[in-house]
Order: sequence, then C-alpha cells, then structure tokens
Amino acid sequence: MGSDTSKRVAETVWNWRAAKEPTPEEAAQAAVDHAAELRKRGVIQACIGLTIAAAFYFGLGAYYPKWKIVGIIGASIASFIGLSALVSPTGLFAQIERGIFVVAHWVGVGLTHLLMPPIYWFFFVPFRFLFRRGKRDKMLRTFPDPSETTFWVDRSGEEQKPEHYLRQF
Amino acid sequence: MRILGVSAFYHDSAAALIDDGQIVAAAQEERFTRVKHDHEFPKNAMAYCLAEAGIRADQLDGVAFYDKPITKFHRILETYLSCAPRGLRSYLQAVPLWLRQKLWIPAEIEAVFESLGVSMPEKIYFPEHHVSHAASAYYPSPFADAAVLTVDGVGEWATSTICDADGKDLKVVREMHFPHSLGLLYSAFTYFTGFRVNSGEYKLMGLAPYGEPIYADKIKDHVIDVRDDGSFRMNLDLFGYLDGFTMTNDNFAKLFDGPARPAESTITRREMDLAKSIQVVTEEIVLKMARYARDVTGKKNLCMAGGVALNCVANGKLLKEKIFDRLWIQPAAGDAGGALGAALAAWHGAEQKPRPAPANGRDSMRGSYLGPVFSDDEIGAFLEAKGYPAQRFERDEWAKTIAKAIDDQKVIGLCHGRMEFGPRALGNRSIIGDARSPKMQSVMNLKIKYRESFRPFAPSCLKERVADFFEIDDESPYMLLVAPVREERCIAKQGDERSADLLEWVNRPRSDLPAITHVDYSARIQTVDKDVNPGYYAIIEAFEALTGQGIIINTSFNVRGEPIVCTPEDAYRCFMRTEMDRLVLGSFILEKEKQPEWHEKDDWRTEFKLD
Ligand SMILES: [Fe+2]
Repeated sequence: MGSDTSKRVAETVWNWRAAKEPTPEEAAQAAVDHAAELRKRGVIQACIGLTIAAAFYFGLGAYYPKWKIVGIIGASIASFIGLSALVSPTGLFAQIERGIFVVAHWVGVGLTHLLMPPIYWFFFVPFRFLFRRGKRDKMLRTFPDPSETTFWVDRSGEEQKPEHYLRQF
Repeated sequence: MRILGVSAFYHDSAAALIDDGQIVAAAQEERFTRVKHDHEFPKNAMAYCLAEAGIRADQLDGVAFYDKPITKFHRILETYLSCAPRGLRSYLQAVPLWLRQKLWIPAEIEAVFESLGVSMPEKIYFPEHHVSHAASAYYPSPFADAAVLTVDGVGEWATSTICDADGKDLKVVREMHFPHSLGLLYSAFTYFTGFRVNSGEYKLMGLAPYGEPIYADKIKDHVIDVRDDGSFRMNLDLFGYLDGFTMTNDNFAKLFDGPARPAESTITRREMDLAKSIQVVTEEIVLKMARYARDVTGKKNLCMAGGVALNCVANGKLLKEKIFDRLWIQPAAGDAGGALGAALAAWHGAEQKPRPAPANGRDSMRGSYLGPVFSDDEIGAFLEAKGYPAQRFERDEWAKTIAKAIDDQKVIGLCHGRMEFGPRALGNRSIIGDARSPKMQSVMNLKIKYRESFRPFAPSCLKERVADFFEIDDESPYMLLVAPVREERCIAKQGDERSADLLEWVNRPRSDLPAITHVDYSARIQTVDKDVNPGYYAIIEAFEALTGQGIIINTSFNVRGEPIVCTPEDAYRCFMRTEMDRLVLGSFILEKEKQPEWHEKDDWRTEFKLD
C-alpha cells in the first residue's frame, strides 16, 4: 500500500492528531467561538421573528386590529430570544433553544399520532375487510396447505434486464 | 469504472468499493461509529472506501444500493393491509420513518457525498436485496459457474432464492416470499430463548449441542410445513412479527411450554432443547433447499449468502452430505455483504461487464481483509505522542515473540494488517491464546470478554495441518464451517453430562485442544493460508515450531457488546480495559506491565449495550 493511501485512510478514519486534548488556550478560544456562534444564531432568529411579528402588526393588523396582539406577542418573544442570546448565549439562550427542540420533537410526535391513525382506520382497515371477503391474502396464511406441492415461486421465465437495476421498484 | 456499494437501514450498514469489478475496499459502519450493528446510513464506511481508492471530486461512476426501497415499502404496506386493525403501533413507528428517510436513498447518498466533496455520480443502481446477496456470494467465488442459494430474514418480498450463475450472468430462478422465512423462524427461536434478534442467532447455534431435538417434530407439525424441495409455509398464528414488536406470541409460548426466557436469566434445559430442535429443522431445510438447487440448476458448485449462511453447523452438514462438489460462502453473508454484492451486481448485471474466469481456484475476497490498515509510521507516532512504551520487531522476531507469549499462556490482542469485512475476526483484529490450555477458555471469557459463555472459542490453524486436528480436508478460511475434532485427540465423556451445570459442562476438557472443542466434539474452524495472510500464518507457524501444534485460539478483538476494534487507538483502549497481557499493533508489541496507568472518567462497562 502506498504511503499516500495510508495517510489518506488514517486522516479519514483515525485522525488521532486532530482529536488530541485541547490546550487551555485552545479550549478558551473554542468557548469564545461557540458563544459568538450562539449569539449570531440568536440575533438571526430574533430578526426573523421580529419581521414576522411586524407583518402581523402592520399587515394583517391594519385590516383586522385583533391580529395586532399576535404581532405584539411575537415581537416580545423574538426580542426576549435576541436579548438572551446577547446577554447569556451559552446559558439562557442555549436552554431556550434546547427547550424549543424538545417541544418541536413532541409536536412532531403528536402530529404523527394525530394524522397517521386516520389513514390507518380509513384506508387499511376497510381494505383489509374487503380483501378478506375477496379471499385475497398476500401473507399466504393457510396452514398447513396441502393444495400446494411447492412454495417456491418460479422466476425462470422472467427476463431480468439491465434496466431493472436502475429502478427503485 | 468505480462503483460504491451501500447497505443501510436494517442492521450492519456497510459500504464497499469496486474498480472495474475488482474489490478495492469494504467495511461495516459499526467499526467506525463504535455502535454494534449500526444501521444508520454508512457515511464513515463510504468515506473510508473513497479514501482507500483515492477518489476525489467526480471520479466515482456509480452507486449501488443493496435493495429496492419502493418494493420494500410496498411489502410493509401490504403487511399492514393484511393485519389491520392490529399493527397500528408498529405502523406509527415504521411508516413515518420510511416517509422521512428510507424512501429517499438518492438524497441520503448525495448528502454524504456533499460532505465529502465528491460529486454525485449519474448512475444509481438498485439491485434486488437477494440479488445483492447472490452477487456477493457468486462473483467473488472461485467458481466459473454455480448454483447460488440465499437465505435470510427478508429483503423486499423474497426470503430465500435459488439463482443460476454462469460467467457474468446471475439469474434468479426460484424464490420464496415473506412472511415465510427461515431467517425469521430462526430469529423467532432466538428471541424466544432469550437472546437478541440479529445478534443472538450465533448463541442459539452454540447452545444447540447441549440439547436434544425433542421439539423437532412439534416444530414440523405445528410451526412449519416443509416440502421435499425445501420450500415451506409457516403457521403465522404463532408469530408476532407481522403486526407487533415481538417475534413470537402467546400461541407460540403455549406450544413450547411457557413464556419466552427473559434476557440474561438462567438458561434451562428447555432452551437447550429448543436450540437443538430448531437447529435440526434448519439443517434439514437447508439440505433440502440445496438438493433442489442442484436439481434446478444442474450446477456442481454452490455459493451461499444471507444471514442463514452464517450458520456454520448447517454449512458443515452441507459439506459432509456432498450434495455439491464444492461450496463457497460469502464471509460477510449478512446484510453488510449486500453492499459488496450490490456493487458487483451493478457491474456485471446492469453494465453487463464480463467476469474473468477465477484463477488458481482462489476467490477474489483477498481473505476478506478489505478494511483499513495503519502504517507502522503512523502507529509509531501515535505511541510516541501518547507515551505508550512499545518495542518494534522485524517480521521473523515479531512472529517468534508472539508465539513465545502464547506458549507462556499470555492473552494477546492482535491489530495488524487490513481489518476484516464481515462478522468474524480472522487474525487481523483478533485476541489469540493457547488452544491446548484447559484454563484458557474461562480466562479469556471472564478476564477479557467479561462474559460467561457456553460457547468455546474458535481455532485458527495452518491450512496444511487442518486434517491433523479435524475431520475435514477442505479449506475454511472464513470460519464458516464446523467439523469434528479428530477422534484420537478426543477424551471420552464423563458420566451423564446433561445433569451438570452448563458452565461446568462447557469447561470439562474434551480433547487435547480443550479451549476450542465444543461439547459435541466439534470446532468452528479457520484455516490460515500463507499467501493470503502471511503475518498471521507466521505467528502460528512459529508457535508450531515451538510446541509442535500449528493451532491457536482466535476470538474477536472486543468486549461483549462492543464492535470489533478498528484503529490502533480502539485496540489500545480495549487492551487497557481488559486483562490482556500483550498488544500487537502492526510491528509493535506492547507489554501490559510497562504501560502507564489507565484512567477513564466514566465506567466503560456501561458504554456498550449487551448483545
Ligand atoms: Fe439480507
């Protein structure tokens, strides 16, 4: 094996040189960089939030004044996020972000459990009963099945063309 | 033309790279992420394969994924259609995952390439799951033509196939369909006897020699209806895998005298007898399938892959029955090997590239040593930077020093050369010891593996000496065959062993190679070829020169629940965590006594989930 390959492989799968313990100065610098990154992220999130809040307040709120309250709440939350990122990026802001992720995860799980069961009940269940009446059973449940002499499916007559490899089905 | 094969999202994700049909690299994702049987998309294994081949930017010509995701998803939907309204919980877990991730394979591949700075190749191939298995078994085999038998849990719909292979052509001629699956049947018994599905099957096979096949008739009468051609239908009233999260249900428990054994609880005679019974039935089916494959294809050679092909006891029987003249089994027979098979199927099947006749009767797996190797310079720099004392040796002295340590009853961790592809350690990421020692089995189990095992260790012996130790005259380079220890080496049974405690039973000496002789006087053999692995061969040869026996213990370099080590750093960590005596890293040998004290923040025993 050439030394180039050896070097490349080691760099890819065993980069122990890069994984060494950071010096105190490197660790301090990494903490500063991390805080700056969080601060930037918080400010961007706040700007997006304020823009949306402004749209509610000045846009929708101009025609339907009740919607101004949504704009005010949105602007307050966005400002709070922005301020927390500027004042305490690795403390309060990081916690808020973690909280948002947890809430988003559970909202996703909740939505899945809300939206997916109706498909099951309104599609899978009725079709199951229809198929059962029509004696269609893809799972071949009959046991034992003396009517069959073999359970092998014969594919020898099938043409297995190269194009078949390019399809996902 | 360079094609990258990928398998993912079930268990043992992997990647493999071929260049004009030649195998360049292959590795399982678990080795890099250190998560056993990692099923996530194998981005680290893909990165490794590309690095090994030196592929940059737009130099990759194709990617082959090891199955057809849409057909597989269709099978899953059909399964729910067949059992609704039951199955809702399983549906809520599986379907969103499919919609979010598993149906978008090209996007997954592209994301990995983007992170590696490699452009997405134009062609993405999707061979059928069992075609990938069959291709992994046939194309690297030493045969110009062959019948191919693949048997696993399930792919898209197929659970077993028979293929007819000749030159570059590989054609599926018969297949059996989900949910009737020998792999799932074996896994159901694995689950029921208290082992983990997809990793405990090996333990069930190892438990079988302790039992009697008292349930075999019950299985054939009530669980599975087998025809003479090896095809079968299962009694689905007994299984839970269609609509639930367990492999078997209450009906199954009623049939087999009580509920499933809880994991880690005491193994009773019932589990031993169940293990033996399902092993006997499995062997019967595999032999029938093989006979039928011979009839259908008229071929003299057989290639095998799929998880069931890792059942080395059944493989040993198959060899003994001489249904085929020759047998070759893909060492990465499980889904990891599907990555390699997918790439080979794309090359020969989709691109219609010819397959040169195998030369010298050798396979093209290169001993399955297809993973990363680390140079002595790199290892030396690492050891120096970390302050780990080590001595560097030239090849001859290196082998002699290791052989002497084995003879001195030391336990040695061996990490050199290219890492193995597939579930077995074949001498490059292995722990080795003296097979003659009556104590070595329990020493290695308790002080190194941290387990109490009813399975003995496997031996590695010089290829030329295999018939001196075992009743077999074939090669078994991938530890996929079980054969009896020669009668003159065996010690007669002492009394009724079935009444003895399991662990006392396993530790009774049965031959002059007690550490590797199972209770039924068999062993799972690896024959070592000088041309394929000269380093490992040299160690065993030096041991033979010293002791007269060209055979040693070989077990995988890991602790229970941990993937086999990959890098020298993984190896050093495992060495220091256990009571191993010596560590071999490339040309370096490290002695435990000379190493600095080892500290870890957390208890490493909690790091790995027990398998
Ligand atoms: Fe498979």
